[in-house]
Amino acid sequence: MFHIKHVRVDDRFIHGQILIKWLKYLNIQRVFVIDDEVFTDYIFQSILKNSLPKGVIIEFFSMNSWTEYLQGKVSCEDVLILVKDISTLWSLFLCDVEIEEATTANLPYKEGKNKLTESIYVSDIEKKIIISLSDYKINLKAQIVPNSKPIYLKDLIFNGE
Amino acid sequence: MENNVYIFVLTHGDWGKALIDSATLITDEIEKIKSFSLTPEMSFIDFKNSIIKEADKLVEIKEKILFISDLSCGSTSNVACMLAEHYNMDAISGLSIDLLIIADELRKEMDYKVLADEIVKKTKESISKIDLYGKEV
Repeated sequence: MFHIKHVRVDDRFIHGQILIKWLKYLNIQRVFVIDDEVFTDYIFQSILKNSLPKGVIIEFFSMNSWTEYLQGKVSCEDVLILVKDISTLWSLFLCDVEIEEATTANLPYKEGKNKLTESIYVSDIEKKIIISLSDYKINLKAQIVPNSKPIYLKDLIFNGE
Repeated sequence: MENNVYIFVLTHGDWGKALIDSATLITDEIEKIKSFSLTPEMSFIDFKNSIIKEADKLVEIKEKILFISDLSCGSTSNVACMLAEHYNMDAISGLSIDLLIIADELRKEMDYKVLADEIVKKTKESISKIDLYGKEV
């Protein structure tokens, strides 16, 4: 099977921070995007594919196709998985894959979300997910680029209560 | 030729607005231009939708739009590309003051069909190393 080197929550998927910083830092040649909407958006898929450096491969999955993929005996190298939001991260976790490290980009405000910092907003359900993940030693941290100071979301939640 | 092309500038942060203001120090007031800032607290979808809201108004009155983004392969360029595809128009990445001024001039002279390619060509020509005496090398 493959090795999930890193999971990143980022609703922009492939963009400057990933291309210029994260891919280089992680030394990654394969990226998986797991998102039901992107899975059927062939224009967006084409844009993301074209933005990657030569030699980096991207594959797109819905949650259903991802669970099917896990049944196969495909071997590949280290992968970076990109998901849009924390609930998809939770779904990924429930697929019983090993997640070593997970970071998030900014989590913008949406109705129903509570402020943790100026650029991090989470819903009550997302708070529960973050805490549950930490019980399994997956400590989601907000980190814009690899050398910026990580902020552990679990700590923000507990400090805010 | 009448200027019938709107320019939409898409940038990370507010520097697009500042760039437009700065360009007017060199050229006349730049008309038919809108700036859209992608800020850290914005979601990708909100940024895209904020542009669609303005673009739809112009497309309804048969205006052409040229999308110009700052960072190649960044979110601004991804959105520019999606919108260009959606509206069947053109997008360029690599915003600079050179590019903006060139785009403003050429849209008054050229047909939309060839405009983006000509802007890219002229802007590439404008980039050069300069030596100690300010001459192009």
